[in-house]
Amino acid sequence: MNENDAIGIIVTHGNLAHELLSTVETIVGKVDFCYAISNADLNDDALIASIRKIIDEHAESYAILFVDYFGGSCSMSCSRAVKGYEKAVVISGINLPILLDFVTKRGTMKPEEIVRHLIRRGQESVRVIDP
Amino acid sequence: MIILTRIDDRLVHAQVVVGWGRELRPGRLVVADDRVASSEWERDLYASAAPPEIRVSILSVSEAYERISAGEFDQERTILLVRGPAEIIRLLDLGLEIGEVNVGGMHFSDGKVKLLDNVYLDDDGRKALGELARRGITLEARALPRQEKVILNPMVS
Repeated sequence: MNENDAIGIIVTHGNLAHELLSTVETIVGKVDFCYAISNADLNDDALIASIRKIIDEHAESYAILFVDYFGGSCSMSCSRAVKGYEKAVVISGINLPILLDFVTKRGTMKPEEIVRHLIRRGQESVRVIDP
Repeated sequence: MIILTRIDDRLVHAQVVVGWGRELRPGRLVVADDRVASSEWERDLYASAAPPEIRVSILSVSEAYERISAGEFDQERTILLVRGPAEIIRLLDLGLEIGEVNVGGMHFSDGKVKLLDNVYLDDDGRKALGELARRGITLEARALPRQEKVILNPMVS
């Protein structure tokens, strides 16, 4: 196992997390280090427990939580879930380019580097397309 | 003035801020919750969830009662947010007058049974809602303002 390995946990409203992950998988094939969680059927405590269960099952890895929207209930539950965990970070504003980049670059950079890279990648991905 | 009293176990979140915020245009959200009010970290967390044009007050239940009844929020369009029916009962016991409560979100956890899409109840939840109905509070279930009000009173009595 690579010491730079990280797991991704996508946490969103509705089906977004599952659809983002399955869309990435249609592009790169099965991904076994990413998990998708929806808050649709869970209250905050149950959501936090689901997140922590995954983190604890991969205690040796860094955990990157990708959340849909800063300040939403998913984002707050994520902040709560990782409180006290040194090897976890929450990134808001997940989009397809960010997830694709994580999946393809994972393991090639230290966790802090990949987080910076993904944020930059996400921001660069929003642009007007010149015809 | 209190323009909406809402039960939502997610308290301040997008549905409230955007979904209800755009319709009702509140100037302030008052969260009445002992757990959140007692932690600075939690207070900051919830305060950051609202846009700058909506002021957020995170208070214990008793402090919320005191400041509401002292008229502190009379000049602002204010949404009063609580986690569950138990907090409404406490506010009523303290002397707050409440006519209608919007049941916006009582989400699923183990042991709860679905009443409506956004309303899952265990025995305590059902009893507490029943108590509110008994005290003459109209309980209307709507996640968002333009949905039809579903009156819960007959379902929980």
